[in-house]
Amino acid sequence: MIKLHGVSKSYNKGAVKAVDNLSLSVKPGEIFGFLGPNGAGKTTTIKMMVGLLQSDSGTITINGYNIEQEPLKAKSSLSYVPDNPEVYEKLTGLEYLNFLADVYRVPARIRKERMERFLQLFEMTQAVGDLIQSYSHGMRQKIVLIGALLHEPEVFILDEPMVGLDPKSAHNLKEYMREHCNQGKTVFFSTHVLEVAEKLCDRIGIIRRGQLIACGTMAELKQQAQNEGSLEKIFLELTEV
Amino acid sequence: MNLLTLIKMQLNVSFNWSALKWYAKHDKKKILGGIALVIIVIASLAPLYYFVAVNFFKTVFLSGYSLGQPEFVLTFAIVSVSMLVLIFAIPFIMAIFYFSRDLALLVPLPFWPREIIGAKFITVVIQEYLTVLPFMLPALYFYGTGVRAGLYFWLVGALITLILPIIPLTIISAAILVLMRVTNLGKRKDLLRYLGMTLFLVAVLAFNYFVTQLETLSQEEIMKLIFAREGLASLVSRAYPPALWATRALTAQGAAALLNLALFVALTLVGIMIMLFLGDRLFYRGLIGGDEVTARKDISSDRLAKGMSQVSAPAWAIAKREIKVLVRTPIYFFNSIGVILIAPLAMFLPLIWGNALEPILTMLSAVRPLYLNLGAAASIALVAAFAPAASTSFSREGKQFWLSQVMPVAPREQINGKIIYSLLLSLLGIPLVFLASVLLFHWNIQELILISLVGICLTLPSITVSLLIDLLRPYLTWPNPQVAIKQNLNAVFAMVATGGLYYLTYQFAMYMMHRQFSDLLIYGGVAAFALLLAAIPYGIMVRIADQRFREIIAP
Repeated sequence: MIKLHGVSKSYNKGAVKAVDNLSLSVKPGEIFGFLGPNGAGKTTTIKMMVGLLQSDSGTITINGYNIEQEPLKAKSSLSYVPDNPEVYEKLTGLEYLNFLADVYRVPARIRKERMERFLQLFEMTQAVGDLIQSYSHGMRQKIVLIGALLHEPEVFILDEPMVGLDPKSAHNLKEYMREHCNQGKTVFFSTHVLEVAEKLCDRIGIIRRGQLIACGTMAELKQQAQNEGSLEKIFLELTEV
Repeated sequence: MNLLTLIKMQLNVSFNWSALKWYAKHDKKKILGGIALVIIVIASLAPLYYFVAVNFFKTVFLSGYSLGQPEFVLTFAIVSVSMLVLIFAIPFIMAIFYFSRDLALLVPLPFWPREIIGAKFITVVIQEYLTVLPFMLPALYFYGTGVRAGLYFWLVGALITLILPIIPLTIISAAILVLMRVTNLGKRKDLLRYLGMTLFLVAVLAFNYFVTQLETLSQEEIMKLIFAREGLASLVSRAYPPALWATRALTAQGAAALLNLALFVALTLVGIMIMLFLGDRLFYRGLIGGDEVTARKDISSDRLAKGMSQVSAPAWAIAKREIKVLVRTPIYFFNSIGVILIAPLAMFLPLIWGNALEPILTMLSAVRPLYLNLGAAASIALVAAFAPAASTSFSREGKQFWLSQVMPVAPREQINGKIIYSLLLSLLGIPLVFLASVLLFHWNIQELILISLVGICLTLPSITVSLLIDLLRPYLTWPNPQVAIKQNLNAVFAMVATGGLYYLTYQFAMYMMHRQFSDLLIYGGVAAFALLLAAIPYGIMVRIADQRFREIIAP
């Protein structure tokens, strides 16, 4: 479902290597957690996966489509939720959702049913008629999430999705992620909340200085780190210089 | 000490010093490209400035000189520049004081409100020199060299030029500080912005009215003024009395000069003090009001169901998004739609007030209908060309550009959406042509249709070349919407490029007329030529769009 092969990206004409020869794959039906310290290259990797940044080398395939060679097909299969919910403040929530449904070509009947479901799930029904500029950070995060779910993507990519969400919405999102994967779809998300990653993810990848230093199920990570402790302990041990 | 740090930081942020230094060190290409762009802008505007503005001031000086009133050029420049600052800085001050993104950072810091206001005010003053210098330099030069002024004149001239924008800016700042607090409309930021813009419009029209009233004085009054000492200067400075003090500070002798200079400087200082005093008492209260959120209104199930069922094609959805964001962001609204509606009004009203319409109409009645109709079509296009709606279309997406990059809609289709939106905006010029027809020219329905069709065709080259320019160098990192549209060089480049395309169209029309083609063929030829010109930038855009959408890094 997601395949990265030898992906590299550097800034300042090669002076800073943000992502260094990264390869990983995520299978259908899998929730993949992407961890790493600040500045490790998580957001850069995600931005390359969704077409916001061009990689210097390597290939990225989403649902069988190369993001650079068949960008529209790849983008039609994925949904992206950024770490900072920057959306059109001058649209109402409803207008924003309709706009996304239009660009993802979601038919009228289906979009209505899905909007109702997700608005209810994230308790946004009452606020959807207001301008987004009046939303709190968490509400913006929720409207971006709902917009991303409208076309029920094959691949759901989220950058720090829990930040700003209230406990109930965070719980609902986790439930939805599991349900989504049970249908054979894929979730890829970055997070700093290690407990969430430990409980929710089928597999976890840890990146440091642009390189994938560990990848696998919790059991495999424990084996790689030769540490029977929690994910937090493993993470700290692996990312220590 | 803290205040100096704050001022330094504000100047740094406003003029991108740190970024420029960083690029100078790490990315010389970018900095050289930036310098080249500035040179291109100056070079393309310089001839226009020289032929129109510099020659105009020379004429004003010579006219005053021949009447024994050489100082008139100085009063005229001081009044003009002060009025311009007074009018054009209203939305600017409003945006800088109340809607800058750094306020959330600054307010919790240990500063007095007056310090924040003062630091922001200094950056505004410096930016206003771009308005002041083009007026003051030629006026000072022609007067100074014309009367062979001494060192005192040049020194005081420099001082007055430096402090000139401060009085009008303090007037606006004080008015906005009071308005934000007293009207207590802070929680409705946008309403306030529209109010500011309305003030702006009233000020423009009042200025127009004032200017036309000058022109309609009786012969006797004019003669009196011409021969009175400082007659013209006193008349013009009625609109802005401190201008007379500044003029006398520059032109009078001995103690009189110093006294007038002292008056002008004192008024400037009083203005600053009043603004800072009001800043301390009113700024935070108006500002905090602006962050209050209104109570949420529940959406009815009917409205919700209706809203959820509206389906649009992607290009049309993009056009709708552009229009909604434009209409709901006052700065954008005013600078695009406002310009389309105000520019013709600002042109017509002075003519009506000045009783100048009749002779013009008589003159136009003798003009061949073809010329008049093509002129009307061109006016639809020209009015649209002055609105930076297309030339800042990508830039205005700013931090939200990521959405355009990740959505599964081909960049070509997104461009089509932006063309549809720009075209819809330019259609606003058509009702004005209809109005002109009812009031003035009495065109028949065929002519109106013809004018509208040719007008629409003529707007297309401006739209496509403007979009192309903005696609090539979108400015996405703006700190507030004012900067996105008003300090965006793409708008200037687009105007220059549009000017070039319209010049070619004009030459083509003249060629067809010269060859004595039939009127209908000329209309068709001009429309076809415009479409051809529009197709070139469109073709380039379509070719490069995919690559550009991949290359652009959303902030």
